[in-house]
Amino acid sequence: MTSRSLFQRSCVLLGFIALSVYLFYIGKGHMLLIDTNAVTINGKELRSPETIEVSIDGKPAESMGRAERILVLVGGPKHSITIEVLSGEDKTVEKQFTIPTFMDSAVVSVPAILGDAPPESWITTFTAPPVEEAPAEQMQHEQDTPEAAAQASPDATGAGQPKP
Amino acid sequence: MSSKLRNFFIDNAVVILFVVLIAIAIPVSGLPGTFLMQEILTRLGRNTFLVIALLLPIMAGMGLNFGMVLGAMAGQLGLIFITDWNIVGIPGLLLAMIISLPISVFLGWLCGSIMNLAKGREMVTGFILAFFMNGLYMMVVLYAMGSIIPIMNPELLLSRGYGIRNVVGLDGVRQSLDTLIPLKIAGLNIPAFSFLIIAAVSYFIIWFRKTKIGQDMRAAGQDRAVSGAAGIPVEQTRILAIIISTVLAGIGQIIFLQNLGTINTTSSHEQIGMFSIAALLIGGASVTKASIPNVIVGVILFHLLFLVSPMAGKNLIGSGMLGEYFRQFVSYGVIALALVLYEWKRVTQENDSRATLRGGGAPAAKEAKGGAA
Amino acid sequence: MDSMKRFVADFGLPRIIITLYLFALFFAAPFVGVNLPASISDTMIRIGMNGIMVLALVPMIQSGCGLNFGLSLGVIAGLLGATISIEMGFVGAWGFGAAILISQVFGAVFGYGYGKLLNRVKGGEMMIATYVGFSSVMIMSIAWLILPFKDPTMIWGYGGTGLRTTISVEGFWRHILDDFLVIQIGENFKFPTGAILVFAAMSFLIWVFFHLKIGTAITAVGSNPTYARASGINIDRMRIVSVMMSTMLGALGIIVFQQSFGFIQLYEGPLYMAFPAVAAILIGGAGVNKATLTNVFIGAALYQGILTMTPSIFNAVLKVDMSDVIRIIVSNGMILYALTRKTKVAK
Repeated sequence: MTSRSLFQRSCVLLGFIALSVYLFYIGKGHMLLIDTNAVTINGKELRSPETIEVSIDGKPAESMGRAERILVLVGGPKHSITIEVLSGEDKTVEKQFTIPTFMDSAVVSVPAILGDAPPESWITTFTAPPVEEAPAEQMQHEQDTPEAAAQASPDATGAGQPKP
Repeated sequence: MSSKLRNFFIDNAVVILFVVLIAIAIPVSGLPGTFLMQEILTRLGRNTFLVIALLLPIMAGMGLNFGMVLGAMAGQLGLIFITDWNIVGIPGLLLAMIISLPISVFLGWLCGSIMNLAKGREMVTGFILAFFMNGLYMMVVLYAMGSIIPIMNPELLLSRGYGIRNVVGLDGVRQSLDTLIPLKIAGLNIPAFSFLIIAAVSYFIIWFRKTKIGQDMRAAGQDRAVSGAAGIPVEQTRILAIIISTVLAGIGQIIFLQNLGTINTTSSHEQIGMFSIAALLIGGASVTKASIPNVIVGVILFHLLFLVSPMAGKNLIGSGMLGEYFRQFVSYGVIALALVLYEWKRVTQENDSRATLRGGGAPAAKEAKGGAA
Repeated sequence: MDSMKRFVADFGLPRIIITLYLFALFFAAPFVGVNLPASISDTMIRIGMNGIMVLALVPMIQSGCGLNFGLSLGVIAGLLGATISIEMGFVGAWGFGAAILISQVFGAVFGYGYGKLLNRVKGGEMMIATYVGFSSVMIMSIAWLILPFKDPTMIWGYGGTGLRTTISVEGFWRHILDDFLVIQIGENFKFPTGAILVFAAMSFLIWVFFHLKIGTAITAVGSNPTYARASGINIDRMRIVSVMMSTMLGALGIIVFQQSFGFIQLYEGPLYMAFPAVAAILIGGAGVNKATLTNVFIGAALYQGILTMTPSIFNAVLKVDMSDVIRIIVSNGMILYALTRKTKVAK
């Protein structure tokens, strides 16, 4: 292998690795929990209005009351949130936020955003036990064993050996 | 009937037979035309890439590449990883393809090398190799993953703590490719982007055939000995054909699975070799000659048969299983037929050329001495 | 050292590995709490069950037709024999005998057609055998659905059409060979004398056959076709004979299998039945165009031994059942090895 082709191949390899890292970054999925529970930031208690409509990344809006959480699945680091206040003072707030790549589940606090709290306090890691609302289940739990599935696979199968 | 028309019928006998068969079966099945059209469009987007993966080995004289299953396994491994890391959307699919790439290349190299050890028996060898690799794949997926290979998401694992569960949902990337460019004509959903990708890879194949390496491959496929004497690295060229085929199969399997939306860890890849090969053959290809039109026609016909057989069987004798068995019989039978035709022709040509050597008999055959079985 | 090296090269490294593996299993058995007599008994029963199917491969290998992946054709002949025998109401030894007789007729017919086909495709037999076998299983599946069988033990209940997927031979000829002159020692050890006797008898017949003039002719066709033709042997005819023998033996083999297993498996059951037999004979030392009876015995013993011992030992030691995966790897690996070996005999 000539040194030139070695160089070329190394460049291609590095290119793929760089691409992979990039794809990982922009493709990482997150579970966002839009939270209207009251929070205390810098000693001040912030509460959510009675009724609001929330939309993430321009998706159809959902209405929320106080002390609720809804689940939104997103991909990538940067997102926008649009909050339209329906009760009391009508106002609409639109903000951008970033989710750290390795944060799988993130709580987005609506009161913090509406209360003009510093952006670092908007997103917190979700560590508590599972939420009441049905989280989107990606895999169902089954009790079947892989051996049962392997039995059905075509190969050099000993046709139905009797179990000793 | 003019001689030209007669030759057309003989050359395309298989395709015509199937068109007639399906034309009869469709009304018997009672399935509505719009449903069939939509299904065919979806399946074209889903399966065509995999069938295209079979083209290069045929050109290289290695016959029907049953080893494409190895590529499918690589693609699935890629998907398992991105599902574990929760990478979604198009980036997820791309990352899965990139992950499958080194695995496909390695498996393709392995497959090609083993096939080179069994010249003249490439097809059986690929056939058995697929089963063998299936065993290793299961070893990795059912025992190594979760124990030796770290899996971050415990929901992917079986209840015993290691091994991937039987069904892996691809919710993160489901339909990502199909819905990238939403296209709706006359009430039918058309997976426009998938078709674009298929067009791209078709163009790649056509372009590849014209390159120097492509020409080498064709020469090696026609006659190993002469090509070798002419300085073509026959062994490496054959391995390259299998590597490309395996890589394409890996990508094709990813496209296939993102449309389905779930991976069946132990069985999603198993029938894919047989289905793709049967489809290609139904489209009029043979063990030595296959092109893009064969792929498209084959996928359409094969899947139409797939769709109408169960219902047609049910309406004919009241058992859906009849249609199912008939469909499987057709799939196996068309492969058997193609193999018989190929070997028969090869034997006849060899006998003819031997007869001339002995002094007398039919004119010598001039090609297909690089036969694969 | 030289003769040792030659032995290793001849015998083949994979086979040595497999043999050592099996010995290791047997050796480990008492230490991990696996009942050795029961295991040996199981192995013997399985050898009796599967032996004839392995034997069935010998004629076609010897005649140069390669590994008979289309053994399912013979299996189908056997299934027809078994189902028709039950349909006619024969039980016990009569039923068993009738099943065998009918199956041989079908086996001969199928074998003849199959042989004629293979004669046209010399060189590509194995792949075609596989898919002809698969297609036939599928046609028969359709046939099982629509053939006019009436026996209530065989057809679907509640007035469905066609035969059931598995049919029990309980009450007909279940274990008729296994229990014949059976040697039962204690609770765990049962030696299926009948089955082993039949296997031995058939092997002997095959051995005699291949020492007759026609047998040596077949071997000549497989090992040196030019010499065979020069000696005036009709190559095509010998090949057809070998294919017919293989199919008929396969038919017999599946009936012997069923009497031990207890069930007749229709529809897609026969689809992959050729593969374990092929793997077994290859493990026993056969090649793609040469097989001896020693290969059959050693192969059947090793293969069934691995099949019996692996699950029990692995379960006891690792608490994990990898037996299926190991079986897939070992069988297919063995076939792969045989396919890629340079054949010593010029073709």
